[in-house]
Amino acid sequence: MNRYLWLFIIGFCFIIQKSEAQIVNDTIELSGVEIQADRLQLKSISRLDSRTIQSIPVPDLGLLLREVPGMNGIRKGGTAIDPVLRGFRFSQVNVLANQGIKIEGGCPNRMDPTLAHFEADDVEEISIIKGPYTLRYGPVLGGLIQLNTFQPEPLKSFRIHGSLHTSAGLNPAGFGQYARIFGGSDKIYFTLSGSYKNYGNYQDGRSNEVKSSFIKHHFTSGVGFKPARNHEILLSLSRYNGQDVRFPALPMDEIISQTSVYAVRYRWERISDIIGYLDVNLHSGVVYHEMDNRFRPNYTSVVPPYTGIMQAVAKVDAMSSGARVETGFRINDAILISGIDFQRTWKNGERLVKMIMVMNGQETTSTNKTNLWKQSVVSNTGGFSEFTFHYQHYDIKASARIDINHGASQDTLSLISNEITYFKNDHATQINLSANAGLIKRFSNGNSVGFFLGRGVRSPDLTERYIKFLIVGYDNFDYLGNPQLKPEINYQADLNILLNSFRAGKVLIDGFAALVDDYISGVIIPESVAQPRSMGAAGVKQFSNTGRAYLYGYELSWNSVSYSGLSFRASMAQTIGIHAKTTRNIIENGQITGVEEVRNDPLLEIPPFETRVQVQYSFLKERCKAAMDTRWVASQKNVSIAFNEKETPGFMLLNFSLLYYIKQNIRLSTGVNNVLDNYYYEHLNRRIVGSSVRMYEPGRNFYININIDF
Amino acid sequence: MIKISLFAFLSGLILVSCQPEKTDVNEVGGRIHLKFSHLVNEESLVTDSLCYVNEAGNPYLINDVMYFISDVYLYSSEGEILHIDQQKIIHYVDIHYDETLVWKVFDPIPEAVYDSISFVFGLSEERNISFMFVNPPEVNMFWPTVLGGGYHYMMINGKWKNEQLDIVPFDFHLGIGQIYSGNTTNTDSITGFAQNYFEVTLPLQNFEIKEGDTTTIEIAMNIDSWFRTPHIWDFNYWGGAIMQNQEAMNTAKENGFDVFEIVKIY
Repeated sequence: MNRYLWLFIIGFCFIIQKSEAQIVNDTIELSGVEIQADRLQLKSISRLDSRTIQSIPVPDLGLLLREVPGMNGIRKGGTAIDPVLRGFRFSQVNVLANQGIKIEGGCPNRMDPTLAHFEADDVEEISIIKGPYTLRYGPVLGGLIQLNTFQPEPLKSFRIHGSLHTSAGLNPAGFGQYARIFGGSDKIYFTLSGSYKNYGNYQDGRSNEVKSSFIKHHFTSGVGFKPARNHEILLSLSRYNGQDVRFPALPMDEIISQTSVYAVRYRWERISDIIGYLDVNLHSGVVYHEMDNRFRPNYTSVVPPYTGIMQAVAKVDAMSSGARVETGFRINDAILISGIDFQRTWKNGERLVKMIMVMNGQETTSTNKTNLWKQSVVSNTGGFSEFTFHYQHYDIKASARIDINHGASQDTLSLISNEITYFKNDHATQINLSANAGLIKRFSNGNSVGFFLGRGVRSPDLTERYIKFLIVGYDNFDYLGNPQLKPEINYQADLNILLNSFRAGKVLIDGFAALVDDYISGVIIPESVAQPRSMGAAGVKQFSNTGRAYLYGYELSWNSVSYSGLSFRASMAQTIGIHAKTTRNIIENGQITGVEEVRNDPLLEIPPFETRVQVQYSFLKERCKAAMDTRWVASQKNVSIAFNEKETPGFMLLNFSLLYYIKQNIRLSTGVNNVLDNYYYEHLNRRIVGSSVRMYEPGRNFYININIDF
Repeated sequence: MIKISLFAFLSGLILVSCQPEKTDVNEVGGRIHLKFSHLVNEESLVTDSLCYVNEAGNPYLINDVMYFISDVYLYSSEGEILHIDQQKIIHYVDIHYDETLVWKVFDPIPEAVYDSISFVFGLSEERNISFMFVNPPEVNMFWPTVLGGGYHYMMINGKWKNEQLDIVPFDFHLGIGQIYSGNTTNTDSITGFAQNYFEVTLPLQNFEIKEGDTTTIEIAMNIDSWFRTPHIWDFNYWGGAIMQNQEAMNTAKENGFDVFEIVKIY
């Protein structure tokens, strides 16, 4: 007990040292997230179950993931929070569903990151694997977020079940309705679900309206059948729609988003004593994304200092297709899983800009059409093997994969200046090797220590390779892709320690250190080479390999046992990121007058230290659970000099929640987030477009969720 | 083993990040600043005051002066030609934005004696591309695509007192001109376009660049010269708006040959 107490004291010393008040009051946020990180495996893994997912104030997976230690999100609007895992972001984090379904969003600004293409209520479980330690589902650099959605399941006799979920909140004001029916027999079975969500703008802690409204709806259908014993075929079709999704931190809003996901799975189990199963998956995701600035003042009127009306619309088609074959072998205590996979991502999109001016008394309209991606494609073919072996008190795991990655585009842009080639549409083929190994030693009482080493390699994505002149990064620069980019390579080590006590509960400590070679980041290119094409862009940056970066940090969590219904949870997490060497332009009077080299520059968008403490009380024979959740977030002063990143003050939040099982199949979860109506923003929240003001988080929010299963 | 692991972990916790270090990595050479000043009758421009009279006898005032210069070259006495192009090629000047009145040239200038400087007044045909500027103030120089596209080379806005003694506005604008069929300025009757940019060459005397030194070259625009030589500009004849009058713009272009001068080097 004493050692746990000691660990806690250390943790709170950190809090006292690093927390600083952000503006005024303290905060409240309600969090009902259960993190099942107690199943220590050969990797750092956190899990969120469906009941947790269905208890959140606004059904958005990105918002939910911010509750997990080591995870944060980039907020640009009221929904579609883009996950950041230990400082790894965008394509550095692999997000997929079920057995490798990967959907690439259509928006270059990531209005629709992969998570936005799945309905939160359809998700049965989320697994977060930190580090490059799972290579079965494609190349992984910083981590893997895996969504397991509800799939059709066989029933012993014909039955039909269902579930309803109604959610409503006051800030943002809105509601969501979800319904699912599922059933069938042992031969044929199905699931059908649909949802509708309509949320308005939210208000921050000072009652300022943040234009963040959105409408989303979806349906999913799935059918499974067993043509023979141990053989199963699953077919599914999903359609997700977004409409008028507002993003105040981006130059445009999402007007239409349409995603169709098709998946087929065949599984043959118990093939022989040695061959455990064969799993074959095919999937395709088709995305249409349209965004424009119709909700912005410039669209309909002249806004000084402009002297004309500026209208912009961008339309993108994206298609992700993949196939995967996996088989598992078991020999005594050893398990070998091997397979091959293929993923192809294609994008095509253009932007139309209109400038309407009145000159000499007559109105003129000038238009300009440019492509964002032109038939750009990245394909990845890989083979993998994962070996697990148990020997006495040791678990050993090792895996490896090889990928052949190919990128191509129909771009005609050629950018060569002063004998330097900035953009030339060369095809690129890369061969990437990833591998990892881990050892875990189990002690009595469930204690264990694990140590893992991994090398994860990822080739650049379509945006990094081929995007043309759009503000897609942290800063107000247009970004230009780079077909000549090399892959990023992450060498990472993790140390896990699990301490288990019948009296004190469980403590999990996870420390990590990562060295990333050929780190991909934006580098300013001269105005004489390329000028920005997006309204508000300060210049042009090009994705480049910028040398070496280091990330290290830890997560620590404690789950107490229940003391007469009273239980405690606490967690803390910190990541530090350093860019070994980068460059920064010296700007005087708005003009670039020189360049300086910056060594040991903090990496961009690294979340600050934070800790959470939750006190929960169960009563009425555990039918009712009341929880108070506090979250302390330290100020972030380690900010990137090269990106002119701004420091963020610390803040504290307080949330209350109540979960009540009215009946075994009817549950009500309600609560208040940000009880103190604090005025605060997360370090990763983007700026409101056209200003230096960051997007503030919602103020006090009352919400309610009702779930009925039948 | 747990204790060792705990010790290793806690040791890691107290690691602090290295402090960032900044180092100047600019190329060696001298530096130049181009400073832009605006004169009327050899005196500094006074805006919004009807205190000037041109050679045609039109009383006038000036509200705004905005223009582009581009493709600056320095010519050394040894025959070397240096194009200012490492960071930017086009510079925007606006009397309302002080930061535009000094171009702090990024390019390092090799040690030498330079005897002249040249630049394009406005934007050459290959550089004048519509939608290349997206932000104010440059974006407001937009020249409608239907009238030739790209950007205004220059806007001088002001007012003059006409023959009826009314004070009326003028837009002395230069950009791509249009050739119309017939006596109309209907955009449907445009049959071609005319480029109205021109090159300016100015002598430099005793101008030597030394490594590590920063030298300022002050270039003045004599606004009154736009209305004087070789053609006397009469607002009552040309009217207040000339962007759809190629004959007027060509006259203004020809008047531009002696508008600029170097007034100081320091």
